[in-house]
Amino acid sequence: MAKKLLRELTDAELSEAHRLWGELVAQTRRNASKFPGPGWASVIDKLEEAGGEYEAEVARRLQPNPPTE
Amino acid sequence: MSRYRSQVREVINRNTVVSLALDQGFNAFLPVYDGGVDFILYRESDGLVRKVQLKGRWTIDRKYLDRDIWVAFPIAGDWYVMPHDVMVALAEADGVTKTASWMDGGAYSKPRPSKATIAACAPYRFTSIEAVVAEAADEAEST
Repeated sequence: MAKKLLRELTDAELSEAHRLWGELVAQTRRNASKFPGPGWASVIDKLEEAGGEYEAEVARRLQPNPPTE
Repeated sequence: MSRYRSQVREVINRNTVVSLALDQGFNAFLPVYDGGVDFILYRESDGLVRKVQLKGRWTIDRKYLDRDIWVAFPIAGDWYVMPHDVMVALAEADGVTKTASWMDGGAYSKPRPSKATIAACAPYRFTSIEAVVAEAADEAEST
């Protein structure tokens, strides 16, 4: 996911996006078991990678002086 | 929008999504009748199949539930292809499934999804069509 996209979100938007992402992961996993087939593993990997980016962005904002690029 | 213009727009959109999918190794197949799937993407290398319903905006509809249908839709010029039922889960989390449009009409679309929705959908975003077209043009020039 584009880090730029996350950087542009307000704290509230980031929190909301993170919450929606949780729903998205849960439903994607349900879909993967309901409609078995190739491709889900890479989709879930991509989603988990995005989850890491959310967490990294949250951690960045929690720093006293968040680094800028 | 006139009927003619709307049909032309749909063909342009379909060709755009098909071009993006071709870039990712898929082939595209058109159904012989309209049963809710606009086209099917198939990638022989790993057997991946996507039954795609093409929309002009972020859209969910009860008639697509529980059918493993993926919705292709644009947001701000970027194309996304997402499992319909995952979009419904997002809609539930967003309160959309409590709206009259969904409860009575059985469908809901978002002309301008929130930034949070766009960020959450980002993992399902395709590479931009501009990048794919530019790469294809570069390859054509170098052959």
